[in-house]
Amino acid sequence: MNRKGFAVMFDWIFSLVAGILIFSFLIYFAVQHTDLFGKITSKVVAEELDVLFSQYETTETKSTLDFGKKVELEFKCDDQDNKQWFKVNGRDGKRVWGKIIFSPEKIESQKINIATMSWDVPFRVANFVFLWDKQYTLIGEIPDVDLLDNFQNSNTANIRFVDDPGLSDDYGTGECADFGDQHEKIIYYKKNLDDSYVGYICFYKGEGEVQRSSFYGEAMMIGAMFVDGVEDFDCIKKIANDRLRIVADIYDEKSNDLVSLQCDFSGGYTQFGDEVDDLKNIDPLNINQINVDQLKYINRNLIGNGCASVY
Amino acid sequence: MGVQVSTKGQLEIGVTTMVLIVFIVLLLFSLILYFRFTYMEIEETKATLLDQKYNSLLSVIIGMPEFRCSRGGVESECLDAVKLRAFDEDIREDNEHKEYYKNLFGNVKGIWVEVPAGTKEFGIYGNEGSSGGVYSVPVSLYYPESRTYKIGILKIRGEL
Repeated sequence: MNRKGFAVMFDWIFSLVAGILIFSFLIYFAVQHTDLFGKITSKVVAEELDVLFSQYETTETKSTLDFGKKVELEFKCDDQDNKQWFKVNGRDGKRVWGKIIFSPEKIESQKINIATMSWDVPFRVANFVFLWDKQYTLIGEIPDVDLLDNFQNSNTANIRFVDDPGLSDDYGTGECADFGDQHEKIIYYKKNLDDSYVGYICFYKGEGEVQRSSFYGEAMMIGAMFVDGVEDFDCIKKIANDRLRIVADIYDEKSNDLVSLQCDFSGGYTQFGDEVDDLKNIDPLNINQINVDQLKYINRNLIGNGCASVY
Repeated sequence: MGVQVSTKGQLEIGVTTMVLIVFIVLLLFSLILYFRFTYMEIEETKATLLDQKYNSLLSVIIGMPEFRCSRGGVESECLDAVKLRAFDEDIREDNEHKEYYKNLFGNVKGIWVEVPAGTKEFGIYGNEGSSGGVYSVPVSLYYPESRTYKIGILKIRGEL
């Protein structure tokens, strides 16, 4: 090879190698950049949703979130540490703190329905947040709850409600009736004299697989409609119960503080404290109606006797 | 035997290398500038999000059953001084609940309710500190023992 020939070949090889290097460098940054923005957008959306859920959680409401384009939200409840988290468009999970969300595992829609309802045991423990995208259809003895007016009745319904006034005390356990794959869930409920609801839900998973879980309160009954499976429902119930313990502790301390108050039924504060203690220590998945009734009774008596109410 | 490169060839290689070096320097410079702006934009987004978060937290705290006042289960637009006192003295430092509130309030440095002079103020989380912005909202405080109301200020000291 002569000198000229070598110089020309060197130029070509050098340009080619340098070109490939620069090009790879640009592609690498472009890919990194695109991915970075995908992550940031999801993170921002997740943070904004978290703030939004917090704001919704402070009030009882129903609304629709319009994202302008299809968004995929994924909700999970981790039963190891009793925490909920959600993902936006399959990216970075965000832990949910202080909110109790009942929703299907996956929501894929441009518009998402959101509603909140307070869970009272008998004092308000939290406002549950409900999220859903699909149209649920209902059948049976649908309870008189305003939110349910938003859902249609149909013979081929996803959810059946059964009014069961003779609900036994061990309603949290037992077999579910075999409805085949007719419904996704059957909610058996009993409305108490004080308008509170108790009962259980049978979750049908197809191929005859059915699981049962109990609920306490109107909000938990409605929340069960939106949860896909019994595992998630039980996990959310545990979170709700942890929250109940915290709020019960506050009322326990408050009743202890008010014991010294001079009024006609000041002994009621000690009674209230004892009942709240019982409420904190019961089986987390089975709230005792007698206990709740007793708390209501004492609080009513306190007010009736001119004492300051505990809740 | 090694190949002898001519002076012209050496010059061409030198020019090509120089062009490449200048190109890479410019590329790196523009990338640094670009990412610097992107970083600033991200910081701005973070500040906006935190601002939203702290403002939303004020209404969340006012709505929390831990602090809100009620009578016979009917809640009103005020904070219960007895609950606040119980929270300050017993609940906030309770190991069982500490973790929950730490996660709930996140990167907030301190949350407290200021009350008129002469009355003890209520700490909710962390401490008042001195660095970072303060977000505040006036609240009505209800004292069930005396059935009186006072004006207080709910304050949050944030990261920014």
